[in-house]
Amino acid sequence: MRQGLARRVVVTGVGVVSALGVGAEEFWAAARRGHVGTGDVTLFDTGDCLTHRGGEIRDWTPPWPDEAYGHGPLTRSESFVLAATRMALADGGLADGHGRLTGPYDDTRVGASFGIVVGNRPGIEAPLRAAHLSEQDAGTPPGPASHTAPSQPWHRRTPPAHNPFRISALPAAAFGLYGPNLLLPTACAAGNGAVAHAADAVAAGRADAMLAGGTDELSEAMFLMFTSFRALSPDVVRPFDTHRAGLLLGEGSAVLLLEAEDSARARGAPVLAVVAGHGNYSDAHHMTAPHPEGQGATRSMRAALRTAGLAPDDIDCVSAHGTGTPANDAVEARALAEVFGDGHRHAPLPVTALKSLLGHAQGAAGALAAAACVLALRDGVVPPTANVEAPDPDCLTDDFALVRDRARRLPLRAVMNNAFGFGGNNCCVVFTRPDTEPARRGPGTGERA
Amino acid sequence: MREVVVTGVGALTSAGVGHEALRQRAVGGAPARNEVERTLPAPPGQPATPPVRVAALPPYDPAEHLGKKGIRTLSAESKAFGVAAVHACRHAGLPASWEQDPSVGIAAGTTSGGLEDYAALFAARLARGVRGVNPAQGPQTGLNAPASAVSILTGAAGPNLTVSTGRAASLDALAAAARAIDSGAATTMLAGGVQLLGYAELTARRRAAPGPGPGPEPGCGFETVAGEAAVVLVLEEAAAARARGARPLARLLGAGSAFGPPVTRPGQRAAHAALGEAGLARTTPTAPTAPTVPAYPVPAVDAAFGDCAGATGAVQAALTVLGLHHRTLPDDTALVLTTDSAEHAEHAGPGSCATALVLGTSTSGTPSTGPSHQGGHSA
Repeated sequence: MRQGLARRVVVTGVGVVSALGVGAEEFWAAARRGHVGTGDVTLFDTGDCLTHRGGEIRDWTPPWPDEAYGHGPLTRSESFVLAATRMALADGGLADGHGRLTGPYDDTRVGASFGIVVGNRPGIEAPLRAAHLSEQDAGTPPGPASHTAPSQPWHRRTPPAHNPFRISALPAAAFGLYGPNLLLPTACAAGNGAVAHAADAVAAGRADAMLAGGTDELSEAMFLMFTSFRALSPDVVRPFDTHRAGLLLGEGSAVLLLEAEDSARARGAPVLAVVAGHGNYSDAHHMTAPHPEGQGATRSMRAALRTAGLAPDDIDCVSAHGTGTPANDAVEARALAEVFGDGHRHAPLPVTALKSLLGHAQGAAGALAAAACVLALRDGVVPPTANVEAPDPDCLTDDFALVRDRARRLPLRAVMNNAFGFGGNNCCVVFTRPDTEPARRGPGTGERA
Repeated sequence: MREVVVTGVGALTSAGVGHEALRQRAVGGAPARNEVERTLPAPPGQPATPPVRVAALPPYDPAEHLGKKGIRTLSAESKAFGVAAVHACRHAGLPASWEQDPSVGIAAGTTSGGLEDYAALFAARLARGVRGVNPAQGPQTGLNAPASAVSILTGAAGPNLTVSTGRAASLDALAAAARAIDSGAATTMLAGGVQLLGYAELTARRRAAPGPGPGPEPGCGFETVAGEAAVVLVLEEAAAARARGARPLARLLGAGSAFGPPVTRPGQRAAHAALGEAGLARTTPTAPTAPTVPAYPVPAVDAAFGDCAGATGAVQAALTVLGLHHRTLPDDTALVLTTDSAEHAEHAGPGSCATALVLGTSTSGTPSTGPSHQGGHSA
């Protein structure tokens, strides 16, 4: 394997579709205000569920019509990622009037990398419901049925093709991104993972630019799954609070435009942040429970620091995974203490948790938090964690300061973004301010944790 | 740069359990495809389907290969991927069991992972209400379930990846695994693909099929018979493999991928990028001859094993590794190329993803023609 040179990778554009707003600046303004975007779920009936709230994007109207792409009806996650990708390209100055790639790069040198949990899979729910109702109408008792005289051919009454690859293929086709293409369904670490893989592709010279992020939609099946786990909060998300009661599912998409720094500067693009390093180590422990000592999270954070060429004291803020469930927050706090809590910091390390505002946007969560990290570095502002009234003394120790109530102005140089998921999938990414000393080692050159 | 070698192959295909069954099928020593008619059990309250002809996995007992602990709630895909991983480890002389070892990682390519459980969970809610939802089924509804389950079963605590880029998914997983070793993030990666055929996957594929085909019901057939496969390759850092006395079967020399409509020739660009990374891009008249066509192209694999969708590339890669090892391929290097060209009438694909690997015999050299980024094409 010859992976080429390790180039410094920078962020030059951001696109966001979220429960806090559409577009990077609308999202960021709401996040800075600590606006809570969660509320009652209207997309499906939650009447028989234990909770009825989530981070739904109400009245979603795509900024550009879905029909314009010519690929039939789109699921919400497909529509979100198309809009966010187009916004990121335009934000970075690489979109023409139709949203397609323009500028100095050959289209075969610009790729796409996206993360999902369910992606467009919820698209099978409506056909399953229709088939179920049809069977009921036909008088077929629930359960295994005989194959008797259907009114239509059987394959027309059953779920359509769902093809998860459409998530990364649709934006690539719509905007002319013909380089490397990746779809990473690495659970709730996927948004961060997609950014990490895209950064590696640019750093190694396999691409000149990548559109990277995540997308997911609020689905009834996932709502039911988390209901069955009794993991959903009845009202709001309270990360690291003594009275935290669970997560709220959310939805959205965030996409970053990544480029090699020399190319970005050569074309005069505004450089917002640097993707300095990342780490991906699994828990190898349990499908739903995190490792009790936060082993995978600890290893991932340490690998992200090492590949960024930074020490723990160089990090100025942590964007926590912070789901608001009792188990996850406790384990993340333990891992943070393991990595950062040596007692030698001159001041407690600020920590914030975006999910208190958005809910858990699944495969988009890490990407939305990454977008917030980039904008935080740009403006020197940490958005607040909402809904926290009594920080849990058994979670974050005195080495950490949970940013809550209002945003904090800080001279941020480096931020750690955490994303952890089911199945022990973890991915942590370090973003730095562009004028921070370049990493001694580029992304993808990390030794084991 | 670290050298990456393949030291083991594990396979469950319609040819049987084990890499030798895979190889025998490919060289024509076993009956082609082994099609069976399968009646798909419908989720509760969903319409039943007629029998469908598929190139299915043979009956096997997962507990025989994985033990009984921790497998009761796993999906069929997670079990199959686990069995392939255990067989690959045995072939490589590895224990398939580690103590939370961060030097060992997992990478899986699949486009159907978790779909059957997702559909079943949702159908259960429709038929029985929210109390009908089985919490144990939830974690298996995700595409990441097979890779995660294998990391838990084996204690592989290194990088964990799932890739779902259509038919190119499992070659992308193998490429990502090789890069994880090359970067030093892992020493050993168990990487490949898994694709099984349940009610939801088959009905989805049926719906996407363009017209009459070989299926038993006129007017709703596939272009090719659908196939099932779970295939895992053990990739190792060459120095580590040598240190433990392992016998490399092949070397992984380069990888490349590209996307686009057919007119942009994504397959050709992916192959060019992989050859460039392997140092085989032909830049001078004296440069070594590079493989230009895949040793096992997709149609040949479809013919022998059925359309294994996201696992197709892993089947191709395993066959190529075994062909290089047994010297049944004509050259010291070979190209593996998967393209996703599913442009069906009802669900026209937006474009094709192509991924290529270049493999060499365990003793083949690596010609020097410069780093990959000079190739001029996407990788």
